[in-house]
Amino acid sequence: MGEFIILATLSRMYKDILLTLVSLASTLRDLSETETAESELGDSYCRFWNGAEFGTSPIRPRDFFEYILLPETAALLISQDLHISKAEAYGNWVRSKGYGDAFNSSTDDGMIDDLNNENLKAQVVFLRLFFISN
Amino acid sequence: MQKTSISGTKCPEFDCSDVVPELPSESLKTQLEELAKIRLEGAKGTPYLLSAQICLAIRREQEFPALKLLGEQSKWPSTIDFKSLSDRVFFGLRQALNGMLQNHIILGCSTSWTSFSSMLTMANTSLVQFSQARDSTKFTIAGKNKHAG
Repeated sequence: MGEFIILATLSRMYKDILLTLVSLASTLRDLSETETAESELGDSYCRFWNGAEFGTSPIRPRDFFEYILLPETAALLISQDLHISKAEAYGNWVRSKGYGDAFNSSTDDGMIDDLNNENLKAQVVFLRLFFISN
Repeated sequence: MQKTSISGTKCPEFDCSDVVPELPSESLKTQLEELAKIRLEGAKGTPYLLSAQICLAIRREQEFPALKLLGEQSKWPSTIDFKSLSDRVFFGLRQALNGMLQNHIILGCSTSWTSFSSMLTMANTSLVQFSQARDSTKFTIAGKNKHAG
């Protein structure tokens, strides 16, 4: 259930999708320039960045949240709780997926619905402000 | 009515030799009771979906003792304070997460980014291809993140 809560919270933190997309496009462009400059032309790491276009994000914010920010958040939380390094915490997160799925995966207590409702309200307020200011 | 023990009962799938674990979960117990009720009512055969769900649940719950032991050895908490989780992320980790989104050096050095990009590189998939893929393909390449407890 932790992953659902983290994803719902990330959606609330980064509810301005346009701004998130701009940030992501710029950060990933800088990263691709650094990483492709360091790798040999045509090697597997260059292929990883294939098709990425200037000014657009090669990955959707939803995927960035789920596959990068979510593991990072989980590792940061585990690192705080178990007083271990972030790299160790990431390893713990990977190894504990089966354990979490077996013992902490209940989603039927309404907590997720509450968070989703909270997100929806925040999104409505944000959109109203956006349209008023434009 | 006298309760009968269901632990040790064989899996209802005809080609499966698994047995119900010693301490089955409440949901597995309910599914087995539902199946027993259908059989008592004289329905022919086994409801395919329920039977397959029970088979999967038995297989999953057979791993519980080993997982529990792994959790104890690794000092993983048996209960998690989910109520405070959202606030911990929203207020406590905002700066670190903003760094991931806004600074390519922080992002590039993070374990989650390096692991993710390694998985895609091994699968010979570009970032753009991954983003355009179906959820099932993404799951195959980068594994399960949602619903991981």
